Amino acid sequence: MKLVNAMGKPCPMPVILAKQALDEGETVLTVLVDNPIAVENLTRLAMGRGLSATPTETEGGFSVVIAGVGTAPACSPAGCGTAVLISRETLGQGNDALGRTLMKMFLYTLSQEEVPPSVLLFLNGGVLLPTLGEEQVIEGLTALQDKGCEILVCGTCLNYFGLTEKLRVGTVSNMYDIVQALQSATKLITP
Amino acid sequence: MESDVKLTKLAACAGCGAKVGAGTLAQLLEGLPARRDPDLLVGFDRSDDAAVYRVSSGLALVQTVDFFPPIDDDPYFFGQIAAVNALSDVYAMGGEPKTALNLLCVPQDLPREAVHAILRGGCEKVYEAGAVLAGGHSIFDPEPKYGLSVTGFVHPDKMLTNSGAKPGDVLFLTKPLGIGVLTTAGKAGLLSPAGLETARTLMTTLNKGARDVMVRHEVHACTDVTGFGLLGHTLEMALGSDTAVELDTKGISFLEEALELARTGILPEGLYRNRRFAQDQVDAGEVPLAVQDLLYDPQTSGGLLMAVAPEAAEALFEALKPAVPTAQRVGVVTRYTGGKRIRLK
Repeated sequence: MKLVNAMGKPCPMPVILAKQALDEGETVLTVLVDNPIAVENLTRLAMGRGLSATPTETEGGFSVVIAGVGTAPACSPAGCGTAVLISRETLGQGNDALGRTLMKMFLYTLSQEEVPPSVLLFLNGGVLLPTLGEEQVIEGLTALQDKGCEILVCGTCLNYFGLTEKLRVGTVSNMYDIVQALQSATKLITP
Repeated sequence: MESDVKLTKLAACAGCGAKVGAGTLAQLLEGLPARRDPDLLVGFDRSDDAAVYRVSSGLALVQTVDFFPPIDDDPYFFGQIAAVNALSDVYAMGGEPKTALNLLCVPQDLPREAVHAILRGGCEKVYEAGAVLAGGHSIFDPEPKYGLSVTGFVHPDKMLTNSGAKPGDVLFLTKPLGIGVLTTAGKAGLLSPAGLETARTLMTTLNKGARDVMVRHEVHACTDVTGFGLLGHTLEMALGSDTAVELDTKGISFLEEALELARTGILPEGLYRNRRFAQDQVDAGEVPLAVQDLLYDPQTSGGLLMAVAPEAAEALFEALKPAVPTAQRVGVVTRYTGGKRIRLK
């Protein structure tokens, strides 16, 4: 998630700087520009590459997020999208069997959303999902990851349950990264 | 290269991209007192390429002035392009350039050789057109600008305005589109050497060949496609003639590199101005965005757009091909029955 500050740069410099960043392998990009022509040019750059460009007005200009169509939104000055914190393998309280089914449905439905969350965090009993979860759970999580959603799994928790070798999707993470992800999220969901 | 000066770095806008938009221009001219003179055949109220003033029943003067900031880093080519562009307005009225006056603005520290190269480029094109350079005026200015005021002759009954098109006329365009996009990319250092060569060749080609063929055939209207882009100038023709126009985008030639650049978003600001001015009158149908963009692309020293009587179209095209190999049949003029004036297909 790179930020390109093209404020004060005359056309076609903003689009050239954005193009350079994409050519260097950046997949998600936020470009700050100060004129609507640059927004139009960036939109064409994105469309030409099968990407989406989402402009928002900011003070003194526009912030344009360029990303794959249907991928997780990049960080904007407002924050870094939605974080989902999962600390149990079940959803809700009452019956655990029902809770497991609900969690499976929850993750599947989340993976079908047009704009996925930017990060999923698995802690404590939640780490059972990306390790021993049913096939449908793993598929949903993989689909989310493919759309640009980051999946962070607590390393200490994996260790505790002896599941480190069993991780099937996501990245082993630490409390520092988890706190950073929570802090920078614009919205937090704790199912 | 005759000097190390990168001329376009000294300019905020490039070439015809610097032109005030058609909509803004109309506002600026609004309310100016227009003095009536029966011999002023074409004045500023007509949105045409040049003014035409009748001197006698057999002779009218065609007068025009055109200048802009550097469009090319090489001063010699900049001079040539500015002159070809200025001369074009006379050709677009069916006229023959006779005299030209230089308009020159240069920074005090621009090397003498660079200034000389600009003037030499301009002068050569004036002579190639068969006209004479008769004088000029120069001032100091931090941003260089060059162009000419050109006067030509035309028979008052033979002059071609942009408002004489008739339903059924066939439209021809004599240069491909995309010059503005190429020069914008050139300014950013993104143009291939082949692209630069193409742009230069097109911009330094006089519309004399096209005009000489045109005046031997039954042509109803003509304009040169410059700062307002093909759609802007076509719209002016349609409005002036109270007709509609159907453009066949498959028949229009676009510079390949310009299409690629358009898909990357390397587009001049003037293109969006032209789009804003004309788009309400354009039914773009299914035409891809990059193609639409080039239809709005401001052309520096673009080709002539002619509306030709249907019965004369084939003969004119045959005569045009050897003289102007880039000429294309781009559409037809239709009767205006309300709604949008221009339809793309």
